[in-house]
Amino acid sequence: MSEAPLLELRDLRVTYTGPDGTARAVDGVDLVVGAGETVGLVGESGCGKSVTALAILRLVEPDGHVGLGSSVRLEGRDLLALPLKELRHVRGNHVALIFQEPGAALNPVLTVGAQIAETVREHQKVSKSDAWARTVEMLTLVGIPEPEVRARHYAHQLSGGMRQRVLIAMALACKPRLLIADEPTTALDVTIQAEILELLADLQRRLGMAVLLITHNLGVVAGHTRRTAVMYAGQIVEEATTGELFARPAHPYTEGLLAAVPRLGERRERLAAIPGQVPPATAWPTGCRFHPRCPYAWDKCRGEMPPLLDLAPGHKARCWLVQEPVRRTERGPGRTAAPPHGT
Amino acid sequence: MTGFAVRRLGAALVTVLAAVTVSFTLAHLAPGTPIIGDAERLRADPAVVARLQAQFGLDRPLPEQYARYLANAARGNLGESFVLRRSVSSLLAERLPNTLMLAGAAVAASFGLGLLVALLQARAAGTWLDGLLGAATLVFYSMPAFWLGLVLLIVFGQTLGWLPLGGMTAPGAPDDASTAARALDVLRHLVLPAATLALVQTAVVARYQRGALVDTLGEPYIRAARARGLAERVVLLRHALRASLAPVVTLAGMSVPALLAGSVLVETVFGWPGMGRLTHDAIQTRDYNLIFGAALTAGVLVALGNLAADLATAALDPRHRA
Amino acid sequence: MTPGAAAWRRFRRHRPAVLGAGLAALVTVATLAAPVLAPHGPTAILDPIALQLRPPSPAHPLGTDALSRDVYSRVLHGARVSLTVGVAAAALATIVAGAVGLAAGLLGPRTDAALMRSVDVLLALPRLLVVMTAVALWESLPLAALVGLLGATGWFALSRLVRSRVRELAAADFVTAAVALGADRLRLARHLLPHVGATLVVGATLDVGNIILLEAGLSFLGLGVAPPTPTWGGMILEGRSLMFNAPWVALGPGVALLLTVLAFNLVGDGLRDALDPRHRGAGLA
Repeated sequence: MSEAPLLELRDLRVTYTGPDGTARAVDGVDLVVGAGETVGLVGESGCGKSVTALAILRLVEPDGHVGLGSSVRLEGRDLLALPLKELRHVRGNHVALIFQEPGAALNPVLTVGAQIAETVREHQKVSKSDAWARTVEMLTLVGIPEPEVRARHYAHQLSGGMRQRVLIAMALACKPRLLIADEPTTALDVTIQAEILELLADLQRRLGMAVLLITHNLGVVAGHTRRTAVMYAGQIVEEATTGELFARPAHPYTEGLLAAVPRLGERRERLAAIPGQVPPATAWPTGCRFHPRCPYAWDKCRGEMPPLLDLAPGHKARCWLVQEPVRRTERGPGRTAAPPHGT
Repeated sequence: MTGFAVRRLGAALVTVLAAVTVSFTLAHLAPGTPIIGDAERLRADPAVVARLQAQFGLDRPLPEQYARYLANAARGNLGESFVLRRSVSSLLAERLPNTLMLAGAAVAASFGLGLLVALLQARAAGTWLDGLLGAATLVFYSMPAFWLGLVLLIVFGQTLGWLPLGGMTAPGAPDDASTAARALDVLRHLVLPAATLALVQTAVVARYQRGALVDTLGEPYIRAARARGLAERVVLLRHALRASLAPVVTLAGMSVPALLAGSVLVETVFGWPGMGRLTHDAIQTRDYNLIFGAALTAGVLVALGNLAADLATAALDPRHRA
Repeated sequence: MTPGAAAWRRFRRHRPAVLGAGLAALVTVATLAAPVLAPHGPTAILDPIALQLRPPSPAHPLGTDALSRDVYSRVLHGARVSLTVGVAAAALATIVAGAVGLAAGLLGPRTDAALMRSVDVLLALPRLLVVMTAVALWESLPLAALVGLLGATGWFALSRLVRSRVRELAAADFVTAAVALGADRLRLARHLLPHVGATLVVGATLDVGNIILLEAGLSFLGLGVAPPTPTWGGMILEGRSLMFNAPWVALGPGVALLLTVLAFNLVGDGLRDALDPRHRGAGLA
């Protein structure tokens, strides 16, 4: 892709101040999404991926604060510097966001059709009937049977899978160039999950839009993304094409995530979980943030935070092992790690 | 749908019945009866007293009196007032509209003003404006309505002389005055008593609605609406307010008892010829039929209020449609 | 930090609540120490000619009334009636509400339905009107009767709140555990009491204000505690006929009423925020 990226996050930082101190939820994230590309953002809860999604559309205020040096460029324009009126023009129109809990994102006292139609009318000066026609069209597109009838229903009258389809319809109604999907399948039954992911892939092909797929579930990114970034403790710790990431993970955290997924036919005495817990955002460990849980950690890791180092073209990892790969063989994965720092 | 209607009607009937029963029980438990009271004052012949009692059916056993009253009431006969020597229905017909006018104006004003205050507070949550409005609503909520009425009378009626000093119409108005002039006169007299009731009710509505709005604004669908690029005003009015309106409407419907109570005091302060004053007089003079008639009316009004609240809730919140 | 200590800290931080508590304390002191604080007796008729209907002055901070009595002293003594009735009736209502709420929550669906339906009906009756009618049962209303009436008509809404709290708690694990260990319903009620305590305390405090206003309203209508005991409502009634010549007669007791009710409402709000932070400004109990 030699064209300018659709979305470019540079040094994105988001902090929340509360009674327990200042939480650095997102702490220097760089990410690029090209036009029409599907990128995955993977991490456990508490790593800052959802906050990243919200920050792109400036939805973290007033509770959260975006760092002064951060920039979020959409086709070259910094969204963080836009006046609110223009930002509203981007929201729901050029960039759409779908949330984890489909039921919670729908207003219970308005029909689902009304909510889709109002979004259309907000961004495109069309008449009520045209907006309604578009609503029905979108509902058909996402595969909802009897769309004219369903449009007049309320959120509580629809099943979880249907609600998520409605949300997708609402997000795509104005044909955005970028769709940010935050855990789109987590709240759904397993059988529905696959359907929704297929739907997203299909729509993405048809509309040619880019998708930022945020999830904690590696299985979700496996078949559906071209590139994936792994997030831990507010930072990107590894980024590669998805195939490369699964085949040759460079960061111990990624290794741990992949190893933790049990595979059919494998025989093991115990599940290989990553030891320790995600630290609280108010107290990230010094040096490399993963070192308390890392099986390979040595002094340098405790003292110095590694930057994102290039392993191979298009493959980066935030780990000193990139410079000293020999240390990897000194210990292997699956062994107990050094005692967690400070716990 | 019919099940819904039948249940609501049943509930309404129970309410009305309860009102009548309670007043019946309490009134009859009170020492002394009207006739005897009168008789003692007039030193009448006991035989005459006995005849009067029989005439009014007061010598019958209580359950029989109760049953007869209910039977008559069902046919529209509410009896005659002992003291005022007029049919209860005609008295009620005369006074009820005045109270409805007063209470209606108060409800309309308090609802509108209360919502406005709540919206301002929710939008400015945490700022000085929120604090100021919150303090003001708290003060009015804690104020005795009858005293507020007096203060308003003194300030606006006497000191500033802008508004009349009580009653519903100016005494001595010419009989041939046009309807418009008479309506204006009544309106001028309505302002202060309605404002008194309304100010306290506004505080009630505002306090409740502010909380509901703040809660609603924290819901995920509000953030989702902002994420779709909707203007803040749309988010506030179309989404947040709509979603939080149902409870406060229920509150309004359920505040009929409080309004009835308030009207007793306010009507007394302002000399407004309404049902509140009528009820007060009836209780003081042990005017049974009038007491029961007033209780019946109160019961009906409360039942209507509850019904309206139920209907409005179903209309506003689709989750409540049975 | 224990939940109690955490709640106390939240209450202390809430400035309006602390202000309210201060005011309430002031009123309580006035009530208890009225005979000592008041410069004159409540019924003492001072110089009938020279001191009749005098506007506020240093000697008489709230002026004098038609019977040449010091309004300030009468206001102080009036506090006794208002506060006694308020607190006692609220306490009574709270006890009944707690009992009914617990019963409805713990004694099974039929009792629950029966009790709550009755409450629905009772809530339809205007409290003032019922009390007004009942007051007529006595020639001269004793204080205890007034407290009883106001308390007996004030538990309906609170019992509903208690019942829903009990229902909420009944689903909690510790209750299931207790039942599994063979706890009978009385014991369950004892276990649950501290948890519904917060609801009860908040409800009681907020009701004190309502009751004080009701008592004042009754006195204003001439139906309250019999004279010559000074009541704030009664004083406002006297002040009504004098409102144009001597507005201060009605002003003093009115402001006293406002401040007292405000105090209890502030404390009640603060308690509610402190004891149940989920309730962030969720309106009225």
